Amino acid sequence: MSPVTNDQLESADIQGLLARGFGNLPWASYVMVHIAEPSPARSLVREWANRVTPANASPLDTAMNVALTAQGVRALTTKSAVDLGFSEPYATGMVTEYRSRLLGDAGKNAPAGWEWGGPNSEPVHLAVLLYAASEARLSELQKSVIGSLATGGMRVAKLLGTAELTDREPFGFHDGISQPVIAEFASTSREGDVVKSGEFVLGYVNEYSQRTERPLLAADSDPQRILPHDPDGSGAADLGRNGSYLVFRQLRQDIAAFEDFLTRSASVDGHVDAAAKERLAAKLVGRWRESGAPLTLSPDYDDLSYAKANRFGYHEQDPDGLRCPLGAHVRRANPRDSLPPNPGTEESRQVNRRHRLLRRGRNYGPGGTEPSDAPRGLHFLCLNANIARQYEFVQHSWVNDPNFAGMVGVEDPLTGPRAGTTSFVEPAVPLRRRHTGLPQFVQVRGGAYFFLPGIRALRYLSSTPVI
Amino acid sequence: MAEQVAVTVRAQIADGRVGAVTRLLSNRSAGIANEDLRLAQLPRVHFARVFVVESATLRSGETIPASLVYMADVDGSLARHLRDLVENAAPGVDKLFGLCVGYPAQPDDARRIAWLRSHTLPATAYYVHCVGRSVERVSNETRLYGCVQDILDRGEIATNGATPAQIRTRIRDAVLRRADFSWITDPPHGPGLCRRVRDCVQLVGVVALLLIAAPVLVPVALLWLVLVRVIEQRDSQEEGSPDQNHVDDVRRYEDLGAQNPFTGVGEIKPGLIRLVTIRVALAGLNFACRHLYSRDNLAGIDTIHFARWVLLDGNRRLIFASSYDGSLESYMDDFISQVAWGINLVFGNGAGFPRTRWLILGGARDEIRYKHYLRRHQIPTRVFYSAYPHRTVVNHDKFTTVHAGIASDTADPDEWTKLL
Repeated sequence: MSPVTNDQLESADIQGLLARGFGNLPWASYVMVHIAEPSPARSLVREWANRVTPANASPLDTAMNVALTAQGVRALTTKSAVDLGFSEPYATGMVTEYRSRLLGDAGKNAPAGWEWGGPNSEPVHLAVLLYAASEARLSELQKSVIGSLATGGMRVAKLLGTAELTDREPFGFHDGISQPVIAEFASTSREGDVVKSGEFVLGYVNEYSQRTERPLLAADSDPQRILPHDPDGSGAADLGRNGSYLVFRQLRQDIAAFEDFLTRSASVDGHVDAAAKERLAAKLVGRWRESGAPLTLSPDYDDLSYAKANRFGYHEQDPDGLRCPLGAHVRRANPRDSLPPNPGTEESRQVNRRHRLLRRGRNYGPGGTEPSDAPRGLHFLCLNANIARQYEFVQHSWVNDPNFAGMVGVEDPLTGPRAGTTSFVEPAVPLRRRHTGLPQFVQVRGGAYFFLPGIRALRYLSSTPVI
Repeated sequence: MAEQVAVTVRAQIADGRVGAVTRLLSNRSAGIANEDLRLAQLPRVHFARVFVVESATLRSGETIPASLVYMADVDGSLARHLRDLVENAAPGVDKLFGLCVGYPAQPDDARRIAWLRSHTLPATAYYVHCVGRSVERVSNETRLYGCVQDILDRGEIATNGATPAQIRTRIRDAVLRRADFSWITDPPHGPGLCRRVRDCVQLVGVVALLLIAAPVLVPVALLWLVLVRVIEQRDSQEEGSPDQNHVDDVRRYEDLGAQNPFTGVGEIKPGLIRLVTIRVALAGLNFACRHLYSRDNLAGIDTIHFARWVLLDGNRRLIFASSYDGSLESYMDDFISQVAWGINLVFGNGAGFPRTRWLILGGARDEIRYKHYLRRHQIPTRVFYSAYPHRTVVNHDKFTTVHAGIASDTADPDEWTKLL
């Protein structure tokens, strides 16, 4: 297969979430929908296809995107996602025995206890993602969408609200500082790692210089010619093009346990050393909580001049993790230039670029870190074109790997699942400091793999099935 | 210091017994390794696996009957391992191989060993991550690392204000105060003198021969490459994703520990050119494993404990089997980004492999086709045994370095203390 040159993104046919997280629309909710009757459901989804916010629009008031699970594809089209040619992780879903093992969804994270998406809750077929400029506008939009469901033979399987958008996740850290950048969607002021669009948008060239696997249908499956054509000229109707896979995980965060662990670890004779506490928090994550400055650039104190700085490599400045520990959460989730072969080189960064995620998550529950009975956490949403090589790889081989980067039995201090407790190693000269007794801070409460189709593809999926 | 050898026993499954064998392997997966073959009691076994190669009809029309395969990576020798296996677990050996054609009806140990021996296959190429590092040493060095961690965690030694060199001395003294650690002052040995001499003679001999023959070899190799390029045009490649039931079956045995088994089988493309190419490629690979990649990586990849390539059925098929760290997805990505050329050189001779150009271009770089090809040709490794299921080769290399630094003061103490 010879390398192909990338063509211009068809942003009018791409759903907006691929281009932006709708940061100017601070209110959002996710309506998880169950389809009871396919025929009226198709009509309503067709209507939605006309209302979906495309990537070439910059909405100031409201936005709506629609995604489908593999079960949703089957409910609408009567065909299985496997047979249609969707990639295997999506087609068989997030909840299989194998995948639970791979993703660490055991014990407290087991799908059997999930609020949605698991075996003990109503199957989710669609996710309607709603965004608005104000709480009132969101409420109106949500009411109108939910109100229309009955006529569409659908019902709410789960309504997931979010907290008003902030740039901090519930433990208090800045979130989303380091994002891969799709050149076509980047504003000029943004710094970051430019990654080929095919890593996120199906039907375009990726970091292997290829168009990845996606559902390509025989031309006669699309008699009305709704779909774009396979750009490689096979004549197939390209159901995947302009779409993406949306990984959705509801992650409940135990803020009390996290604060308690930090406080305990930073206490000497009942006196809490506030600076030591913040320092440990920073070591667990890899960035300072207050400013988001990376430890790699600002190892000893929270240097505001490096707030949210993102231009650095680990191998270059900190190969042994003396600044940012090897096991720190951000170093696991994005190892930058520290991977074999030849850490510190472009070759290493190239390997890293094949495992990037476009994150679009939002918090839920009350803000702040004050004690509260209401659950708090993150609706983790990310987009990628190859779930196995991107999301699952990052989750399994980096974040959850107890032997990551040559470490020995050390789990992710922030998000890792645990059988009991785990330890955390802070490399230091002359000797490492080891913290023990870290409980599980983050618990998976729900999740599913969705397909965020191109807008024509959404129209196709909701048209009358071709037998 | 013990060398590692690849043991492969392959026997045809008796008529009508294939289903029974497959059920036995899948239902008793861990039971076969632990209770029947009692592998954990054999202190020289690194890894072992048992699987079924389904019956297959080759392109020639000939049908190869289903067979049962046992593989192990062991310290010492083939003969020693077969004896250990039979003496330690004769009932298990009978239970497993009793379902195969020609297994002795009234077996005694001598007959069992003779029968197993007569069913062994040589590895055409064999990779060992760290030649000479025995199971015993891996287990000792793992214990040493744990002991050092324990000493530090308990605050057994004073470290405040100490230099790395002082810390190392104190750790060494503290370890030596414990029972069963007297061996730590003995540095980890590489391969024995015998093997080093043999390797040296072989290396010099082969290089000399290649140099002498270069005026002939180079034009022949170039001509060969052109011939291959011509037949590459006619190659067909497999399309589409592997059957979902097959994928589910294979994955039942994956991602249970830090390591995974990969076992795959494929038919070699027809014709003399392909046969010679793969034989030369495997000979070159075996040579490289022995002389270039015997310390800590295979062409830059540091996640493989052992790997072997076994030609079978009159050189018409190849089995590839490895024990590697991490998931198959990361394993495949490593290969594509680091040694696609090497993968192509060997597996590009396999029927259905993604199309190569000039032997080493294309092929495995066709990401999705390559990943599907591997999955499709994978055999469920229904029985997989590891002597150290939770540790990676990188872990073991670290433990060895910790050991070496304790045994001798020549290693930089600043670097050494960083390993802890």
